[in-house]
Amino acid sequence: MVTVEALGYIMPEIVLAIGAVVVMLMIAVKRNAILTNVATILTFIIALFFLINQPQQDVNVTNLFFVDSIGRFLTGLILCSAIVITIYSLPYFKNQKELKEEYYILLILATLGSVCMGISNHFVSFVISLELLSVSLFALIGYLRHESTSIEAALKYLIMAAVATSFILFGFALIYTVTGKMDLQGLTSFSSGSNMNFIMLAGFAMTIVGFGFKMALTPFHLWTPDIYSAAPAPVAAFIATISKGAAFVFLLRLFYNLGGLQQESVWIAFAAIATSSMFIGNWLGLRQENLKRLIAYSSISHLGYLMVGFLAISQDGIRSSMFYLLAYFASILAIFGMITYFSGKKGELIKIEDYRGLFWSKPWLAAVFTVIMLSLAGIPLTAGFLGKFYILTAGMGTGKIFLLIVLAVSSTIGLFYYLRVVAVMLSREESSIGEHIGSNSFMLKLAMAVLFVLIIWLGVYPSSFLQMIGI
Amino acid sequence: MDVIFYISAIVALLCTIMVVTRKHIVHAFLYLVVSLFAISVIFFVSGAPFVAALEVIVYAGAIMILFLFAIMMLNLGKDSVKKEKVLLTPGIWTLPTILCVVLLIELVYAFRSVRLAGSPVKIIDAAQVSNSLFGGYVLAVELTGMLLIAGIVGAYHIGKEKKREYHRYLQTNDSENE
Repeated sequence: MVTVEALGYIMPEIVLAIGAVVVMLMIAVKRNAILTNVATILTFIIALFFLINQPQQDVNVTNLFFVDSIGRFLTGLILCSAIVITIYSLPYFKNQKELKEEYYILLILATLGSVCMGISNHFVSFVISLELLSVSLFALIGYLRHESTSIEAALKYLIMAAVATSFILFGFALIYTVTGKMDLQGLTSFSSGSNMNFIMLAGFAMTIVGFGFKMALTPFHLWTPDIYSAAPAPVAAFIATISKGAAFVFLLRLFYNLGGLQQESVWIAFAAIATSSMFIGNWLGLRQENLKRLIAYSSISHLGYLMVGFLAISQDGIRSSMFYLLAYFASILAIFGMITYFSGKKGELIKIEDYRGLFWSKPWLAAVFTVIMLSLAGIPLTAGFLGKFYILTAGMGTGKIFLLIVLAVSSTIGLFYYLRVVAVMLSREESSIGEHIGSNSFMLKLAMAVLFVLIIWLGVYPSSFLQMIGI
Repeated sequence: MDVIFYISAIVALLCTIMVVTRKHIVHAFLYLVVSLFAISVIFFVSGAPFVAALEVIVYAGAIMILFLFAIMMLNLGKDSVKKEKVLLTPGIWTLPTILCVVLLIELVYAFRSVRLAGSPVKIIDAAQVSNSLFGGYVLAVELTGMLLIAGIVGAYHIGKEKKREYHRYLQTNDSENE
């Protein structure tokens, strides 16, 4: 049963649920985009407030949820990212003819889904939160429904998400057949007792495929570039950061509890997925002319790096993956913020060529842009570098040399296309950037500045953040 | 009971294959309903009569009828009347009927069989289901409520139309003639 005391630990989730309903009723009373936006940000801030004031201990909230330090960290990260994305959304949708208010309900619900996924301790709660996230995302991707590309992307995501969910469900069913348990703690007690059999391995394989789709790891990555380029920039940022991060954390919990990684075959499957994600992501990005597709390939390779931390199977591995998630969230949010910043009446500037000569017309923005690119590439003094550094350290600690070599080589390949963007910006030509929405949105500028400071801060003085992860 | 399971599973598989290969959407629905019946029989023999009843009432009953209703509403016009005349030729309904009869025989057999009482299958009744739904799993139920809000808001946004516009696949001949 649920006790009142236990409910205190899921206050952030309850606040989000209430917030979604309140925002919906508010729209029914009065339609106003700015008001709705502020209410959404307030919801996230109140949830964050409850999260910070929670006692720091690991608690089971019924069988379904388990609130621990990883869960709390991820919840905080998701809520902060959601605030940033909400800030992006107001100026972005200002020029659109679409009704803007429903967007925020869906955004809150998608955030609720991913937050619940991060603290899920049970197959049932995971699957429901996964569905909550996916259903909200279909509508968010296709939000600008008068553009055929956006509806096409929504349909693609719908099919992909359905396939992924059915794989995950079938995998869970097979695991349940063998173990008879659906909560992760029960699975832990099972795995210590007996060895794996064929059905269990089949269940693992199905689950890995499903998570591969969700996190866009190679060879399940094909949907990513299409959807990133067609979805509105803030929504693309949501998919690239929050939904992947939440899925990753549950994957981490599942396999660390279940002990599947000790199996040679499971480990090799994950290692193969990680290796191919790192190489193929970077390789496909090399000649990419479309900035949003380039970010998609970049995020594929980043998730590959993240898997190296996951495969370390150690506390260090968890800690480094969490730090990497933080750095990745900051960089990806910032780059999508840049795209939002430069989108104008005619839509987003998604070609790299559109940014030609930016450095000479808007040096400050170009500098921020460059730092973000360097952070994605993993150059020292930026968040991306330290993220990779910790992942490498964690991998070194457990002697996974092969993966580390792949990580180093593939990130060198990736450096090429990140720097190509910088080179285009630096070329001495007339900038063709016309009117853009960023120039008259104070909040957007503020968000970009905060993310810029965060990227540098993470890269120079990470210890305060490491303390926060404190696992 | 194993035999019943395998027969129902084959019926379910066959029907689902027919669903995805039919050209006419109403015919596909006919098979989908039979497939849901087959799954319901599987639930019944695995000792979950409550879920089996829900499967029939909610899926085969409510949701399928809604689907059918929506499709019938979309296909207004003289053309669709002509189409509907050829909807129910004997060739179409024979196979679903045969499959339904197979399921019915299975069900009658299962009811009459005394082995169900002595088998290791544990029967879970409605009280137990509702106890866990509103006991330990109440948060999951609440979360499902949020899922429904997401679905409704999303569908409302995507489906809202000021001007009537048909997708090119839905345009029938008479709307082109106008």
